[in-house]
Amino acid sequence: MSRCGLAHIPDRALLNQARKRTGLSLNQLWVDYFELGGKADPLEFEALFDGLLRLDSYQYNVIAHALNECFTERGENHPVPYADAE
Amino acid sequence: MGVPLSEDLDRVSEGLSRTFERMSLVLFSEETLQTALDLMCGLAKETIPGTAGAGITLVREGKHLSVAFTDHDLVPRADDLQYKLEQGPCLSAMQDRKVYRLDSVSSDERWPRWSAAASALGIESCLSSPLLVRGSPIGAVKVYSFEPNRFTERDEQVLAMFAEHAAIVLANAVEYNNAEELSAQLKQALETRDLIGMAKGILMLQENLDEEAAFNMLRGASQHENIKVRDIARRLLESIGSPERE
Repeated sequence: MSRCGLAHIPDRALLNQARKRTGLSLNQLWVDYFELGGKADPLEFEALFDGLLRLDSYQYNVIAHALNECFTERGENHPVPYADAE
Repeated sequence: MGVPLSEDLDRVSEGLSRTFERMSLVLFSEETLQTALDLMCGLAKETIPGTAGAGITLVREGKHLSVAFTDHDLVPRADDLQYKLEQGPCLSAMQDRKVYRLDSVSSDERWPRWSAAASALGIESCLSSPLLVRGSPIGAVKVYSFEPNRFTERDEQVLAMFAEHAAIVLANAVEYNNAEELSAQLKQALETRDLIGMAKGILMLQENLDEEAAFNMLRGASQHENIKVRDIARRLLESIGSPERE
């Protein structure tokens, strides 16, 4: 797998903004993320959003997809961009 | 009138203790939170003579919810008025942690907007007590009457006693209910996670991919077809269980 570099992982602030738009709490989003196979526990999850833990492309994409599935329910088309694989 | 107030109250207290003890046993075996609330409302109405309607409000997740009432029209309307107007004897009871009694709603001046609206509904007497757990309000219990001067100082003390017992049982029931809900939610989440895990495993083997790539494949199909990853996963698993393979 080629290394694409950090520039291709979208900004964490974007995730925070998107989460606020969904109206989901961190805990509610965590459950969706967990269902999709997310690896972080609820505390680590919060740390990921705060920028305190490294967010790899896989976990980033799980979060992004959890958010996008929520947006799809409201008729939007995947507004949160995905990261390229590292 | 015969029995001194303190003796009378002791008897009431004993009776309440016994009733609540029985209620606790029932609650922890089968009943749901709503049943607990309904039972308690009915009991409040029976315990305070002259009550036309009783109601219980709980504060959950910062919101006041009128959760149980003995009649489905008057009490919720009177309660909701308090929360809409942001004033009323129940709110004050919770904030000040004491019982409030109104003997004549139409002429009471402490909560003018609420009183005007409540007396328009026909309510003339009202008694509200906070439900306190470790000194903090978790809600309130209230009784209403269509007659003025219906409730006495004795009734205030009885309601306060009632509220003490009720608060304990309700706090436990709320916690139990929260734990049950969380447990059900997690159970469901684990099932979905397993399903998606199995689908990833199948793709990893079939397509010679690592986990991230397998997830991306499921995600790609989900984006393309606008259906959830869990449904893509389910479909994949169902196709694996097809007759030819057996």
